[in-house]
Order: sequence, then structure tokens, then C-alpha cells
Amino acid sequence: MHGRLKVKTTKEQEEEKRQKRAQKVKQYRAAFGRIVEKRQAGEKDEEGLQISQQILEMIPDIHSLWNYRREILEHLKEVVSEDELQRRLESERFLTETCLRANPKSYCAWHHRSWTMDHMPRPDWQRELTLCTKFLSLDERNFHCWDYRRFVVRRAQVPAQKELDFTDEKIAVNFSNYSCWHYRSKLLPVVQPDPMGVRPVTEAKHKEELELVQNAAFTDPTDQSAWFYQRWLLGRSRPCQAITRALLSTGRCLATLVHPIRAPLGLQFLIGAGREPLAGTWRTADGQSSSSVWVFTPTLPLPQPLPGPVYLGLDVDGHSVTAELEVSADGLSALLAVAPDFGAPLSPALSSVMLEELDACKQLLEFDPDSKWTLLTTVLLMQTIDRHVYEAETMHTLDELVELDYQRANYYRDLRSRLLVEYTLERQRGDVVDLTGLSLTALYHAPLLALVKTLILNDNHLRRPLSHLAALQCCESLSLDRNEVSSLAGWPAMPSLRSLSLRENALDDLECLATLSACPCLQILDLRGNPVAKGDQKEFQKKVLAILPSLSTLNGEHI
Amino acid sequence: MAKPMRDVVLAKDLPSSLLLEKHIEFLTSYGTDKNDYEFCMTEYMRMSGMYWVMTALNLAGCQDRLPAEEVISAVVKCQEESGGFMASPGHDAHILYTLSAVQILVMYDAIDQINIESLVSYVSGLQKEDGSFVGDKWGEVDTRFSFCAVACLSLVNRLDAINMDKAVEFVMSCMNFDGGFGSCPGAESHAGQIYCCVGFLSITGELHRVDADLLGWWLCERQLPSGGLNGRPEKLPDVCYSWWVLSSLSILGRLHWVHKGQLVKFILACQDTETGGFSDRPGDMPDPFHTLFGLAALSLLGESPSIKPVDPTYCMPVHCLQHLNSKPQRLHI
Repeated sequence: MHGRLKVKTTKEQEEEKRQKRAQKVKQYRAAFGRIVEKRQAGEKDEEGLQISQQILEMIPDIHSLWNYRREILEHLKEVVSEDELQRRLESERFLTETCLRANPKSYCAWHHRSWTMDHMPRPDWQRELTLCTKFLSLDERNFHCWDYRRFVVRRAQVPAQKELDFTDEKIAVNFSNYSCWHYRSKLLPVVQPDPMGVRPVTEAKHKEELELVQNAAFTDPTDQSAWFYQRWLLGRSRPCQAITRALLSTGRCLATLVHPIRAPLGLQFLIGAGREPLAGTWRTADGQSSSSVWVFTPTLPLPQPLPGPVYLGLDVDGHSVTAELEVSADGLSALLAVAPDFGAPLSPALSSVMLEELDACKQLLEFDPDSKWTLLTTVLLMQTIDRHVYEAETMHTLDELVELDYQRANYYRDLRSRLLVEYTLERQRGDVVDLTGLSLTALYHAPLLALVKTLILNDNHLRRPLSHLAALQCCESLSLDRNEVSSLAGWPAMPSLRSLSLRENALDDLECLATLSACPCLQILDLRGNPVAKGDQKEFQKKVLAILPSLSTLNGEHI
Repeated sequence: MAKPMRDVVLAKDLPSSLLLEKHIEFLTSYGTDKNDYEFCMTEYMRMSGMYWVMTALNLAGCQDRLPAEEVISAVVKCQEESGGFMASPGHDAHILYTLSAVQILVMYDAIDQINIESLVSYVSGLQKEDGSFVGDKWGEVDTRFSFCAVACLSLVNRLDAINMDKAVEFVMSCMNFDGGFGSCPGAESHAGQIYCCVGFLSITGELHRVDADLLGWWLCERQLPSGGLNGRPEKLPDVCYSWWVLSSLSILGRLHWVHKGQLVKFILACQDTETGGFSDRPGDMPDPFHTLFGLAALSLLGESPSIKPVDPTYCMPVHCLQHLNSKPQRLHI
């Protein structure tokens, strides 16, 4: 029961209400019973319409009664004249209107209205459009009515531009209308599609729209609607699917992609001048059905040395894409590591609009330094305009947001972690990646670490299941000292891992170490400073060895 | 002009601890008076009512407070020849009630008591050419029905019975600028609908198609100063959104993006101290629907040891889902 206040009543009121309700129950039972009888007898008549109407006016959500009405109307269609059918369906439309006035959120009544209109010999769609406009002026957020409006627009073939004009009018009345901004996001790409396909709309319209929404957001900075829409307009376009990492060697063969895929369509190593496909099988690194890290097992041992160039192919939207790997000097392995691209460049025109916006946000912050929406928007603007110039300011603003909007502190912390990993991966491109002391709360972009041999994550705040470490197929040494790891549940299979350091974390359960047995090469484990490693060391060593017998070094001591 | 934010203020005297025993009483009294007005007026969705009550009792560890045989036979009786389930005798089958029936039977380990083949053919028969699902033969299309279809079929390990690629394509065509989902292509994002679509993608193993950071952000922005969650921007908080929002965040591995303590406080404030049960907002009438979603949300938040773990995709106790061939997908960050 939504929004029904519980009210205290007197004994008399209670009794009166009880009697009324008992009466209604009786009426309902009798009426519904009669309907069931009639349906069983196959009666599709006036009486059926009358009785079902009485109940529906009381409870419009009984879908079986609408079904019965449709059965009757379909029957009438066969036996009455077109004019009579038109008249019948018009009164049907009137009934839904009555029901919707009492209950504007009845799924059944809205659906029945569209069914009715679709079966009317001479539907007046203009009347429907007017009705929607009227309903939306009573409740501008009724999504049923917006959906019905879009249905009517399709049937009446109303041009998208006219609907866009309608949203202009609605927004002029009230900026705080999320339903309306949403509709604009659907209409604009139809009315003014970007010929380059980079943005949702043409550049000119994009500028205009940014100005409109900025005006809206600044009018009431606490209203969410405009800010959400603005974030969409500021958003980076989704990067294209591509190969980011590839390795072909006797020990390990893998490929990583920008976006996860479900099936390795067209994914294959091609070797030699003739680009011969290499036979073998692909599986995902984490065992999930879709992944962006795929591991290859060749059917036959790799030729040594590799015969000429090595390529990796992939199907993207039906087209075949190929990338060439670099063959090592000894010819025994081939590697590809594409420089990461975390920000798309802006055109000068758009860039200047964004700079103006950033300036405007900063002015707004002078009046209201605690406006979280303005702060978050400056972060997005700075990331879009030039992520390197504004690196320090971005981080500082995110720290402010953690304090200011504490309900969502973890969101800002994770966003900060994501950006920090991005900056680091742009700078560190070798076998060793050091992410020490960045206050990371999440490890984003793990697939880009697929070729890294040593990963240092010391002095961060990592604590949730680290299953995405599955991407680290080549990682031999992993250090997670001084984090907040309390369990190794969900720890993935890391085929190359030899040394794992988890000093000073919160591990307190010996049993969870069993998941590490999925790392077949693990020899060195350091658990010093964890609750689990307290007490007698000899005893501890014995227990750990029982779980992980192949260890050679535990807590710094050779076994 | 700045308008006041739509939210509620929690009064000081509202309940702040879980009244589990009261809720059990409230739930077990559901339907004991067959002439009760509310009970009678909700007959058209009885099957879902039973699912809310049974699941809530099961999460409270009290499934046996209701006679299993009676429940099972009442459900089994509602299977039509078509294979679909009606909400109660005299009504027509619909995919909404078909899912509720299957969920109840799985919870009671009694799925073998129905005709599974006809169930599978009913559900797969509701798929349209474009991959969408209708609720029944009268043609209403909604992503809720896409979720119901794959949830039903996966619970009987028969996902192979539908055109999965098309089904996924349709759900993806309902994705919006904010990363959320609506009921059909073009429709506005709504937390309930997002739960259905994210749940659908977790069952079909296609969660990588979601922009989890963008959608997760929209979802955590549903939390209001009162601690409660709303279902769309600029709307009032409601206990049932604690479930729709939280389960979606949980599937996306971003449950920690909401403030747990404040949400727990809001949910507990929606308990009815007299009759038991939860309402949508403090001071409103309680009902089984909000009681289930209040308890299920508390279970996901992991702050109430007396409530059993709930599965965020199926909204069923985790221990009832051991038989599934493939577990629903989860994201992690």
C-alpha cells in the first residue's frame, strides 16, 4: 500500500468503516462470481460489460476483467456495425479515463486504453495527445502517461521536432522535470544527429543544450534533474572495442580487450607472412561467461622461433580487426601493449564552451562552496577539458566531496581510485607497476595489468573480494601490505603468482587460505601482522602448510 | 526558485530495532480472515501476495509456521492448462503470477509437483519476434516480463527454451542516457525496472553490457537525507526501493555506495509497532509487500543476523537456490 496514512479512529468510526467494507466485500464477491459463471458459459454480452465495469471502477488492476471485456469487444466486432463498434470503443476509452482519474498509475487501465485505440475504426489520436498533455500538467512525472504519449506519437506519426518543442515548453514551466530531460535525450539524437557519430547530437546543438541545462542547474543547484542530464552531455563517448594487450609465448598466451565479450568471435593468433591461424582454444581468465581477458591454449607446441610476424585478429561489429605483436629478439615470444587512452580530445569550439562552464561553476561555488552538484560537475568538466592540467585539482575536489556528501563517500573514493589508476598506468608502462600509498579503495582497469610481472599495492584501503585479480595472468609477485583485506574468499586463480605479501591486513580466518591453492606456482607467502598469524609461529606454520603444502617461504622464514 | 527536497523527516520515537517476532505474527495472520477487506480486494494478485509472505517468513527462518502442504496445493491448483499460473482461481494466467508460483514452489522444494514442460512452453510462448516478452496474450510488453521469463526458466534450468540473443537485445534497447532502464524502448529509468533489467542481465550472464559506474551512481543518488531510497529523482523515499535499488547495486558490486547505517535506520523506522509489518514510509499502513522488501533489504545490508541471506537477483533465500545449473552473475570492483 503506497502512501496510505494510518489514522487513529474512534470505535464508532471503526464500526462504520467495517460495515461499509463488509458490504463492499459482499458486492465484489457476488459480482466477480457472476463474471466467472458467465465466462465459463461463454457469455459475451452487455451484462458482462456492465458487471466488470462496476468492479473495475473500484479496482482497476484486475487484469482478468479487462481481458473479459476485450473478449466481449472482439466478439462484438464480428456482429455489430462499424459505427456501433466505434461507439462501443469510445465508451471503453471513457471507462479507462474514469479509472485513470482515480488511479493514474494503473498499468492495466493504461494498457487497455492503448488496446482500445488500436481497435477503434476511427481513432482520434489528436484527442489522445491533448489528453496526455492535460494529464501531464496534473502530474508531470507520471511515467505511464509519458509512455502512453510516446505510443500515441508513434501512431499519429508526430514529428520528433514537435515533441522536442513540447519538452521545451514543459522545461520552461519547470526545470525540475527529470521525465522531460529524459525524453529530450531520446529526441535530440533523432532530430539533430551528430554526422560524426562522436557526440549524441550535432556540435551546434550540443553547445546550445549545454547552455540550456546549465541555466536550469544554476537556477536551482539542489535539483538533481538538470545535473544528471548535464553529466550525460559532458560524458565521454564510449571508446571503440579494440585489442589492448596480447602475448604469445610458450608459457602463456592471452589477449585483453577494451570491452568484455561473451564469445571469442574472430579472436585468433595469425602467424607468419601468410597469417596462418594458430589452432587452439580460448577461455576467459576469470571463468565468467563474458570477459575482457581471454587465455589461449594452443593445440600444438608453439614453433620456436616464431616464423615471422605475429598478429591477433578480432571481430568487431562484424568487421575483422587485426593488431600486430612485436616479436622478441630471440624470436621466442611476441607481445603487444597499446598505450591506454582514458580521455577523448575535444574540438576547440566545444572546449571553449566547457571552459566557460567551468568558469561559471567556479563562480557559483564562490556563493555556495558546499554545492555538491557543482563540485562534481567541475570534476567532470576538468576531466573532459584536460585531465592532466587539472589532475591535482580533480583529486582535491573529490576529497572535498567525500567530506561534503558523506552518504556517497564511497562512490567518490572509488571514482578517485579509478582516476588515480588511470594516471598511474599512463606513466608506468613496464613490467613493474607500483600503486603504493594512493588510498585506493578499488582496483579499476585490472585487464590493463595483464602483462605486469610485479604489482605493488601497499598502503591502500583495498578490502572487498579481489576476484578481478584474475586478469593478472603474468603477475609473479603481488604485494598488498597494509590494506584492509579480511578474507581471501573469491581469490582468483593466478597462474604465474610466485610471491604474495599480505602483511598487516585483517585476515583472521585460516580456512580462507585454501583459495590460494588455485595459484599453482605460489611459493612465498607473507601474512605477518594479521590476526590469523598471531601466537605460536611453529604451530601457525604447520597449519598453513597443511593447507598450502607447496610453500617454500612463510612470513619471511624459509621452510 | 529552489524547492524543498522531497523527503520525510524521521521522528524521534520511531522504532530503531528489528521487531522480528511481530513481523512473523503479521505475516502468519495474512489471509486468516478470508473476509478481510484488504485481503479480498487483492485477490487478483494473490499468488504474489503468497510469495511475499512465504519469502519473508523463510528469510525470518519461520517457513514452517504455515502448513506447507496447503500452500503447495493452493499454488499447484492455479496452473492453467496453458502452463501459466493465475493469481487465484477464477482469474487468468499471467507471467507475473507464474514467476511468483515458481518461486514459492522452489522455496518448498516442490517444483516437481507441476507440469514443467507446459510451464516452459507457456513462458517461451510469450516471447515476441523482437525478443521482448508480453505478460499474457493481450500484448502488454514490459521489461518486467523479460525478467519474469528468464527468472522462471532459470529456476527450472530451462533457459535454452527461448531466443536469448533477441531477449538480451530487447532489454538493451531499453537502456537510457543515465545508464538505467525503462519498461520499454523510450521509457524513463525507474529503480524497479532497473532491478528487473539488471537481474535479467545477471541471469543471462550479460552484465558487462551495463555501464556499472554510471548506473551505480544514479542508484546511490536515490538515497535521501532521511536515509531512505527513492525510485526516481525528486520522488519520496519508500521501503520497497530499498530493495530495488539495493539489489541492483549488490549485483553490480557497488552496495557500499549507499550509507548503510542511515538506510537501516530508515527501514527500521517504517515498522508498525502495533501490528508488525513494514509500510512504505513511517506512519503508513503496513503490508506484506513492504514487509518482504524491508526484511530482504536488511538481509542484503548484512546488519541483522536473525535474517537469512537473500539472493539479490531472485529475491529468494540463498539456501533455496543450490540446485541452479548456473548461478547469476555478479560484478566486483
